Parts: sequence; C-alpha cells; structure tokens
Amino acid sequence: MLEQHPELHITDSVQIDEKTHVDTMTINMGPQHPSTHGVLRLIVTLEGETVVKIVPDIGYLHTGIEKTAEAKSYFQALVVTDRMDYLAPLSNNLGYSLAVEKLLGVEEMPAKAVYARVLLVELQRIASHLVWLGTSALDLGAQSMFLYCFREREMILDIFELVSGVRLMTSYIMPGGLQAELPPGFDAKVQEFLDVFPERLQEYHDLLTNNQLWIERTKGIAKINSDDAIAWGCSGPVLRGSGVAWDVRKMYPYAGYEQFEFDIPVGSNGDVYDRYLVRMLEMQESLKIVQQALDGMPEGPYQISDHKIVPPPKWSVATNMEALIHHFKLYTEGYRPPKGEVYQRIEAPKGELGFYLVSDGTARPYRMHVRAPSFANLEALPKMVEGELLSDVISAIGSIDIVLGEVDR
Amino acid sequence: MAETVTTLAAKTVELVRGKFREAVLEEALHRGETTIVVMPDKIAAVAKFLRDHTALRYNFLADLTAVDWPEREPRYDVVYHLLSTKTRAVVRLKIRVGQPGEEHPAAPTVSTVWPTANWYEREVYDLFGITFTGHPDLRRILMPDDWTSHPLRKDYPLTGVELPEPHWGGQVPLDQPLPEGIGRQTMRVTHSRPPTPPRPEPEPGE
Amino acid sequence: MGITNPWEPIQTITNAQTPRLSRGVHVESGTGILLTQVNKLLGWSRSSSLWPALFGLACCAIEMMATSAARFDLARFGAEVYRASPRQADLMIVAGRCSVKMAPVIRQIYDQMPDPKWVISMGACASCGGVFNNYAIVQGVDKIIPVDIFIPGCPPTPDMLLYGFNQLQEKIRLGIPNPPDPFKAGQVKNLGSEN
Repeated sequence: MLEQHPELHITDSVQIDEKTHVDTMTINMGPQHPSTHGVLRLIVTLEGETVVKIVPDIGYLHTGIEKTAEAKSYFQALVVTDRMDYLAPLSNNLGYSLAVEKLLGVEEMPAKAVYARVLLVELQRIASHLVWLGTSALDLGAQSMFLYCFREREMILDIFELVSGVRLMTSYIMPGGLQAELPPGFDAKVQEFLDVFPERLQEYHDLLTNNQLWIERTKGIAKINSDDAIAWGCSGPVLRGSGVAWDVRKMYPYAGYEQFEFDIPVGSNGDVYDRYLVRMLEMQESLKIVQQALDGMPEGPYQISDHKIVPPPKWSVATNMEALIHHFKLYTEGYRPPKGEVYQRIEAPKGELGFYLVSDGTARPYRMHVRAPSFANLEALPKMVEGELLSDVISAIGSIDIVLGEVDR
Repeated sequence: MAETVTTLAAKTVELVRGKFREAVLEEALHRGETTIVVMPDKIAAVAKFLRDHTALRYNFLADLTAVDWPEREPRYDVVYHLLSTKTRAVVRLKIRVGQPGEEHPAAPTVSTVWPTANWYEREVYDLFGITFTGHPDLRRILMPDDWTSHPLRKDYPLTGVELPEPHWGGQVPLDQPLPEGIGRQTMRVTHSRPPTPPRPEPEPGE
Repeated sequence: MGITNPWEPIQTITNAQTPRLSRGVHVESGTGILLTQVNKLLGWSRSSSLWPALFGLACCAIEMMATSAARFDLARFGAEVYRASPRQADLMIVAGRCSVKMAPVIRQIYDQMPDPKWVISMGACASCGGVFNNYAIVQGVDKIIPVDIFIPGCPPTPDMLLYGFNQLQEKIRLGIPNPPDPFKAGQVKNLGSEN
C-alpha cells in the first residue's frame, strides 16, 4: 500500500478506487510522554497502526552548552560537559579532557591516571547500559527489570560517590589526569561490584534473552542495514548491531585502551534484538576491562606534573611560592593553549562522541562543538521505523538509546 | 590495514589536490590531524569524490559544524569531519563562507552525498544562519520555529535579547518594562571572566 | 565613573517569584471543630497518596527514577504511581532544565492538571536556571508555574528529593495554600523597583 501510493505520506485521505479510500492520521507523541526517553516529540502519520511517516522534533532540551563553554575557561567548561549525556558523564569528561590535552600538546599521562580513567569509564559504560536496559525493558512491559538494573547501578554510583563525592556529574576526569587521588576503599569496592555483577548479568539474560515475549517484541523490528547505518551516521551499538565491526576503542585507540584485551560484539540483522544483545555483551566485555584495570593498577601520581595545567596540591600552595602563583593563575585566568583545533573521538556508551575544540590562544575555548552520537542515531529513526507498527516505534527508540541532553545540547 | 591513518591522510590531500587543483585553498597538519580548505562551490564535488574514490572511501560523515570568526572575511568556517569505515582514514574539510554584510551566507549542501548531513546542516542554519542550497528541508531544529536570531554567532549575547511573546526565560533585559505577569531576569552576565590576551606565539627557533 | 566592575552582578531583587508565606496552621475563620477535623483528614489523605505526573526533563529525571527505584523507595510515601496523563496526577515534579521551547509545554501540562495540585521544582536548573544562565534556559520554572517546594542540587541526591517530598507532605497537611500563579495578572507583586 505504501509503495504504490506515495501520496499517502502527506495527505490525510487517499482514494484508492471508487469504493475504498484510506485515511491517515497524524498524531503527536510527546514531548511529555512516558516512553520517549527525555523530551522528544515525534509527529507520526499513521495508516491504521502502520507508521507512514515519522518526523522527530527535537530542541526541547536545548541548553546552549556550546555557547556557555565559550564564556568559561577550559577548566570551568569541564563542568558543563557532564550535563550533555547525563547517563555517562565520565565519558563526556574523558572526551573533553583528551581533546584539551591534545590541544595543549600533553604527551605523557602517568600510568595510574590512564588505568583509573579506563576503569571509571568502563564502569560508566556499564551504568549507562543498565539505565538503557531498565528503561527500554520498562517501555516494553518488563517492569521489574527497571528495579533490578537500578539496584546494580546504585553500586556503581556508590563507587563514583566514593571517588568524587558526587553520584552523577562527577567531573572527576579533568584535562591533566584526575581531580583527586583514588581513596583507600576503592579497590575493595570495585572488587565487590565485580564479584556480584556477573551473576546479575546472567540473571538479566535468563529473564529476557530467550524469552518468547521479548523476542516477539524485538526480533525483526526496526531493521537498518549496514550501508544505511553508515550513510546515516549511526555509530556505537546501532552500527555494530547492523554488522559493521566498528569501535573507536579498537580503530583509533585512545587513553590507553590498546593495553587492554577485549572483544567487540557485532550483530548481523540490525534489528532491536541484535542491538540488545550487543549491549548486553558489551557489559560483559566492560567487566573484563575493569578487572584487568583493577588488577594492573600501578602506583604513581594521578595527574601530570605540569602545574601550568593542573593545580598544585593544596598543601604546597601554603608553603611554596611557585605553587601559589600557579594556583592563582590557574584559577583566575586558566591555561592558554596554542592556536589550533582538534577533534577527539571516543567510544561513548551511545556511540562515537566527538569533541571539536578551536582555540585562539586565549584562556577560553573559541568554539566547542560536540558531535553527539544520539543526534545521528535519532536521525536514522525514520529509516528504521517507517512501515512498522506504532508499538514498534517504542521498541526502536528504546533500542537506539537516545539521551536528549546530548541530542539538543 | 596496510596503510596508517597518517599516510592515508597525506594521500587524501594529494588526491584532492590532483583532481581539484584550483579549488584547494590550503592544507594544514596540526596535532596529527589533516585539514583541507576548499572553495565553497566545489565542496559537493569534493565530497562525492572522496566518498567514491576506491582507495579512500570516506563513507562516514562524523560531524558538520561551523565556527564564527567575526573579524575575518569570509566570516564563517563550515567544518566537515570525514572518516572511512573501510580504510580507517580520517580528514577534516573546511569551507569559508560569509562576506561582510551578508545576513545569511549560502553554501552547497552535502546531504546528497551523506544523508546524515541533513540534520547537521539544519543545526548550522539554526545556530549560525548559514543556508544550504539544495537542502531538502531547511528549517530550525533546536530553537523554536519563530525564533528570529541565530544564537551561536559571536555578536549574540549569551543571555539572549528581548523577544516578543511567547518566549519566556532569559530573554528580557533588566532595564526595560516587563509585560504583565511575567517574571524578570535578574542576572545579566555575558562572560564569567574578563577576556584574556592571547598567548604569545613561540619565537622561531624555540 | 568610567570603570565598571565586570564581576558585580546587576541583581537587585530576589529571583524568587513566590512571596514568603508564614508557617503555621491556616484555618479558615468561622469553621468549627468538625470542619477542622475534615480539613485534617483531607490534608492527610492528599499528602499520603500524591500521584506525580511524569515530567522528567534532563539529568534530574534520572535521580527521580533512582528515587522510585529499590534503594530510595518513593512508593513508601504513596507515590510510586507515576501517571502519564496529567489529568490523573496531582503533583508535578519538574526535574531538569526547562528550555524556552519547552516552556509553553510545561504551562500546558500544568493547566491540564486538576485541582488540588502542587509543584516541586527539583534541581538547580528548574529552581533558578542552575549552571546555565543563557538564552536557552528559563531562569527558574517559577516564572511560568507556581512552585511549592524548591530542591537545590545538581542533581539533588534521592535523599534530598525525599526530604523535599516530605516537606511538601507537611505543607499539605498544614493546609498552606499554593503560591500565586505568575500568569494570573494582578496576583503577582513584582518585588523591587516598581512598587
């Protein structure tokens, strides 16, 4: 019906032959809706239950983060980068810190900072995937998954609270290393999580992976093939679910990922079920990385030693004149990277997160642009969902794992 | 992969210069990243060439954005970040648009080459005012539809300017009378710290 | 004087739209003992089964979800039923930053809620614009809707949200009325220079 009558896409009633006509109905989903993950508005044209045309309308969470970052120093702008993908703030911090370090020309990072960064970012990946699993299962009706996933996530948030004092929005990874030393109970707490989580993950697999209801709701739904996924700029689990073995951690290794052994799960069909499995297996791989990072964590400083970039330790500010001057210059003016621009890409839980920083030599970023993975993934939504049923739209949005904070910035 | 990212980037520059001799304005290599600046009207042809060339195959448009340099002429840089999932190559393309006095500079669209450019170009239009000729659906994406200005331009203040109803929030300056019943913006801060002088360029020989 | 201090804020009045109300029991005059007991019963029943309308906007929504999850259980206060439709809800927890595009939507959802209704503004962005003092964010959602309880934090931890929720419950039990609606003309006295 849809192929033979392209006019169905725009009109409300189409005469097929003298006896029948088809009516389409345009409805509005959102911006306040229980199952759009954030304030996303979808304008859906339906023929019965089949989606004929879907137009996402975004911008309901536009925060002007890029313009705010132009008014702050590099150190201050770190804080606003947390709030974009608010399910994985440490990933955003890592991307931003790597970009600023590239701009500054920082070559060497102490090994402890490298390991700690990788450990925390992989824990953050697990936390983000847990929220995805909890909320998308909740949308499809598996309400207890929400409670289980958030129970595990609380353990990870306890670890973040231990190192930085804040559950979300830690801003713990800064240009130059970490904000503070890893506290004494850290190893024990991470090991406790690593002991508990594998069996919980197995529990989620037992509940969902071979569940007939789950398979009916997700297998064969919202397919996108690999050429379309690449053409539409999808990245992360959406791209890997379609069969493209592309992971920025393996292709353009950053922040010490080349030292760790892990695989990247790749799907084949590009439907919701494959993306679900890709993320579940990614959680398992992240556990491997966290274990390796914890076992191999070296001793040493947690920041680079260049005090023109990182603040000196507070005890030395009281006694050492040079430390006092560095402290003063850093907190009033900030460091001034040389003129230039960089684009740093990392593999955030949602996909390829890119930070494009332009410096004009002053203490404030001249332009900070964030390539948000959810922006491009959401752009591919019409491709995935046109021709499917309305309830499949919900599965599709859940499987793309969008965060409106990063789509709208 | 036999070729590394750096050799592929150098090869890209060579091939683009070879095919589009007059269109390439400059190239740069900074912090390991290659940038090629081309003439604005040739960008669609360069994009298609890069996507279809068998040795390069830049099939993924990672990012499309713009930078505003108000004292420079042309004013805006439209920046494209390309990557190839087949050969792992990475490159940055730039075009310079925006003559003085031009309210909405025009640039050709690349959404025919990479469909993902559709929303990115809408975002650049919304935030900077650069129109893309040939774009299928150029309208605002992040700001409300009846917004009259382009927020990310450098002459737009951070806290916004006064706009007629129904815009609430950080839009009403302090020194003007308020419409009935609407609250008022009390802090007007455009920068959290005063501007700093640029870092001195390193001496040659340093 | 030619030199202005760029660090000095131009803030002369408080940003809070809602005037300060006195604490204490507000009993309408002329009521006897029976009506007071009925008011107490109404207050107790309304506060013990507040049904929040789903209004998570940004990061604070994640903490709101964590509050209704297993560790910080919001259901023990009677509020686990998040109603999707505002017509069935009586509490709106504005969790997250409200952009200028979203502002008319917030007002519409608030208008669709039936009386009696209360609003908790959760987080710094909803209370006063938070970290984002710019063109895109409404500097405090109380410019649009009357807010009963403000909860600071970025994001507030779930225990902070629970404390604010308990304060709201106490406010309902005491019978303290809602603050004036910023959109009803004449109800708002702009504190400051134009008195």
